[in-house]
Amino acid sequence: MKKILIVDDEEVLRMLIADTLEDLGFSIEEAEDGEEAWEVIQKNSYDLIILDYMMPGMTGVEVLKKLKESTVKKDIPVLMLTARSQQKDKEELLAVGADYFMEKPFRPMKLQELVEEIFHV
Amino acid sequence: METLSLILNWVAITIVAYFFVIITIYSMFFLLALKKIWKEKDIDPHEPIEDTIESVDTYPLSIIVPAYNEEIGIVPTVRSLLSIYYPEYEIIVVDDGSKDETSKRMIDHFDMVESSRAIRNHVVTKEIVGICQSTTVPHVFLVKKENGGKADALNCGINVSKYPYFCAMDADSIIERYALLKTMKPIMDSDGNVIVTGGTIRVANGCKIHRGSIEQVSPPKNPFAIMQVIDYLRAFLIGRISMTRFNWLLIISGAFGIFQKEWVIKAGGYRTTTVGEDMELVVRLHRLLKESKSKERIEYIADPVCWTEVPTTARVLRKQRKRWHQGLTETIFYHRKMLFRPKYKGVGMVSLPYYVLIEWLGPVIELLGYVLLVAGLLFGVIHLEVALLMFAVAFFYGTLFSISAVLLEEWGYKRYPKPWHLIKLFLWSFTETFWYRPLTVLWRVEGIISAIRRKHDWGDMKRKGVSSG
Ligand SMILES: [Mg+2]
Repeated sequence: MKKILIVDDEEVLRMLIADTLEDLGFSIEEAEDGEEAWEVIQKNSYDLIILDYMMPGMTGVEVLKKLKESTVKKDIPVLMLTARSQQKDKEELLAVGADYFMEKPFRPMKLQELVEEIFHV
Repeated sequence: METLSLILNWVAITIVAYFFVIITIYSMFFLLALKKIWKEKDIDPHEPIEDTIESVDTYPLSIIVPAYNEEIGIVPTVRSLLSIYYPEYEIIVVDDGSKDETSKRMIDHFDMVESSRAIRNHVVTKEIVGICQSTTVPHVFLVKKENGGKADALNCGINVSKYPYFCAMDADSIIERYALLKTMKPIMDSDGNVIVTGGTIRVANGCKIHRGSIEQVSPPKNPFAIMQVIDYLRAFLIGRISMTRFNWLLIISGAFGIFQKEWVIKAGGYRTTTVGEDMELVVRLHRLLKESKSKERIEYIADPVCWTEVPTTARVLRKQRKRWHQGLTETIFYHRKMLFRPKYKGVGMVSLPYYVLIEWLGPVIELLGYVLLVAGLLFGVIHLEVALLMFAVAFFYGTLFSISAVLLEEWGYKRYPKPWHLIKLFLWSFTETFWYRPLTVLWRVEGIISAIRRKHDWGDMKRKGVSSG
């Protein structure tokens, strides 16, 4: 079973993503901020990380940077959740090494399609 | 005394004859359903979904959830609606003046703020107190209004909704992930010529529910709930599948249905003066379609897409069945002019008469039968042969179709994973004639009585034209 980590400061969004992906047969873990995310990433292995851009404290970009600089964890694909107005940030994220993007707000159907594409199901 | 006995025996034989007619009609329905399920049996359940996905973008819809004192269930319901597989939709919860914390739970959980959203005045409703929108999931709305009943809350949802289609559902029903897509399919396939669709509703009691969706189907333990599982299977698999074939369907359950908004507005919205607003609207739409000679249709899909928690006590079940039959009585009364009028085609000539003579009158005749049977045996006014014949017919009628429905379900849809689930349903079917049927028959007759009592306040509904919206 593929394991996915969801990092978002908003509980409702974490729930929405978890509900959608769990129904598809993925195993889901959640973290509510950057610090918690970085902690669990170091301890566990994941097949995909869904990472919110805007979070209080350690932001999504910072988590992404740390991840992509790490030697053991850099190959985990990262799906960034961004707001519609952040086109400029998108380029920055690509440069840092983000693999996929999803604009907020999104419909679960779109997320499902993207994740299925990532795992070739 | 002898004359009385003679009369009573003849009445009993008439009742038996009536049930033979019903058995014949139901058998025809059963065969039609069998044929349809046979044809669709081997279709991959995902195939229609794949087909639909192409054109689905052009059919956005608003989900309207009327809620009255639903503080416990409302957040889980909305949560499960959030992961529905459909590209473009909004969720509108209409708090119909709840006395509990329905609105507060919504506002807290979905971080809602006041919204300045435009409201159209398609249908007159009770006053709206405020509209809120979620900041985290912006397609979730809450409308707070003064209490006006379910029909009024639905009308209010119609006024607030922004998409051309709406889905009306109960706050306590669970809809499957692909429910909207599957139920919208007839509309999309017909290029919008189907204006109302509904899907099959099943009993959620006993099923394992995880995060607002059905994880495992299994029959409930409560006897009332088990009998309703069979009841629902029978009603949906036998009656409704056949009715929809000929565009005769008169009921789209209030628990889950999709409507084209424009037509509903043209018809004047839900009627607030009946307790059977779901059936009444569908009959009124049929009437409007026929009167304006339109070719639009109402369709029903056999796929089980919506699960509902049914009453588990005699008290609540009685209330529900009374209300349903009162609603049926009221609908028939409002639209009695359609009866046997060729202008209304199959609806006027077949399905409405069917509802009057079988669904509506059935319980009255059946109750009379039970009374005669018991009295006849107690006082010896009925011949033993006649009494036995009556009993045999009642048992045959009650059990035959229940068992057939259970078999049809297993054969066509295989939703019950374990063999003992079916055996359990089977065995309970045999007890139906002895307790469940007489009780529900009695309650339905009570519904007719309360409809007659209420007759004095059946005013005609005030309509407001589309142009004023
Ligand atoms: Mg955030």
